Amino acid sequence: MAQTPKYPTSPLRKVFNVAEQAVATRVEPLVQSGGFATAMSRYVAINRRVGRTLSRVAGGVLHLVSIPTTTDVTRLHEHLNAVDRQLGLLTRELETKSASRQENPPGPGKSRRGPDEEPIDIASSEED
Amino acid sequence: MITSARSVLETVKRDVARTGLQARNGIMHVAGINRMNVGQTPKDVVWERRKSQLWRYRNEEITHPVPIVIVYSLISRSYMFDLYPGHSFVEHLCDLGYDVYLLDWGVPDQADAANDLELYAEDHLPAAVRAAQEASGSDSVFLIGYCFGGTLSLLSMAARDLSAVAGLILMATPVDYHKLGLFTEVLGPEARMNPSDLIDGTGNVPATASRDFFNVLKPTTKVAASVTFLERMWDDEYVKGYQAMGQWTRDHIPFPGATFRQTVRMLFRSNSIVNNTVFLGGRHVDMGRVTVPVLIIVAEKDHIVPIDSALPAADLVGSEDVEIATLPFGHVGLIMGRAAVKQTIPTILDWVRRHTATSANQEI
Repeated sequence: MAQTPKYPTSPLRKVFNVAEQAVATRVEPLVQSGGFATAMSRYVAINRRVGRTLSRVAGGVLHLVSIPTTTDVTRLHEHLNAVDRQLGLLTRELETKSASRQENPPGPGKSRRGPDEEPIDIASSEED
Repeated sequence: MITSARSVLETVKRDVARTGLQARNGIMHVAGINRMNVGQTPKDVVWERRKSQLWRYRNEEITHPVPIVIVYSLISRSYMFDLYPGHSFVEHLCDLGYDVYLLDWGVPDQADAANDLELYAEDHLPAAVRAAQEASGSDSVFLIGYCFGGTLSLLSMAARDLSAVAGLILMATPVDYHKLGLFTEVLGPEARMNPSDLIDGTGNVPATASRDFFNVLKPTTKVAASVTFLERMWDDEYVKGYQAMGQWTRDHIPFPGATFRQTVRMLFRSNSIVNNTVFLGGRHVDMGRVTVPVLIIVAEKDHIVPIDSALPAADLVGSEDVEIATLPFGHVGLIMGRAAVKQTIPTILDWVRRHTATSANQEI
């Protein structure tokens, strides 16, 4: 609804404000209603179905002449995104590990082996 | 007699001058040659990951020790916080001596269709907070989440141990997703709309869908605004504001598809925040883990996030220090225009100052 202006209101504007207020008070509750929501959802769903059918037909024609469609490109993007996400996860894992290593650096005499691990016999492994 | 003749002459003179200005501004508006330059406050990118960036606004005179990090929504452009010089939320904060950061999520495209809530709330947001901490050299930051940015901030705080956050400010933040009017009717428990119907070939919800949705909420607003514009076209300042604001309201961005599906399933259908049943990455995200001081700012005339949708945050968080500020504006008025400078910013800063003192005392 229109806000009350801080400057002198012209008679025409006053008429408009009254009309706008009358319309708004009726229309606003209507657009918040379940009926409107249902109508809007149906419109969106039909629109989508029509769009999908059209793109399927267009896609079929394009495939006949070996031209990739938007769906093909989207699928390719999805694969790339999956790879990108995996890379992101790995990068963050590495960042976390290097951060924790910086916080707790191994001491000068500390071994990287676990406490229960047997020391590796380099000589014997070389013989093998 | 002479006085009245003079006043008539003055009125005629003023009206002639206004008609000239009206004609000039009208031509410029129709031709689209006076498009506003928005988001002009100087800033630097201090962190980025994929399309998300953390901006630090340049400020030579920082007088407050704890920086402010603003988390914006995923639905439209973040220049809402930096409209144009003299009418910018962040510029005003900088002028008052604050170190201000803004987390901008970028404009999603096909490559971002799989971005989910986990990516934003558990990865990007905590990383940006750490980056702000590093860039500022401060131990703590204040986090301001606006609209869906507030939801993300809340989820992030509950999911991750963000010990750097000294206080959380939730502005017009939806928490009860069953009280969001038309959004709830369409996407809520009645499941009238299949989320896939709104997702386009790029895998995202197109910007036009969000724009149409918001326009339909207040069907007469556009007409009323146009009439006011015609009436005040002679006023250069008003025209500037109208154009910047109009530019922003038309400037929606695509909403990442995976986040949209999750939002519909978890927040709209199951109302998971209110029911404390949010799961991110398979782990339960308990809102009670948010124990820092919280300021909830709600707008009385908010037709997008009504007060009833925002207020339950007060009972959900585990914090014992929760304040609620109700301001007499709409959803956008909280941030843009003179109202923000006169009331929103002072409300935030008063709370920030009080809590900066508290956190400093605790540290001592």
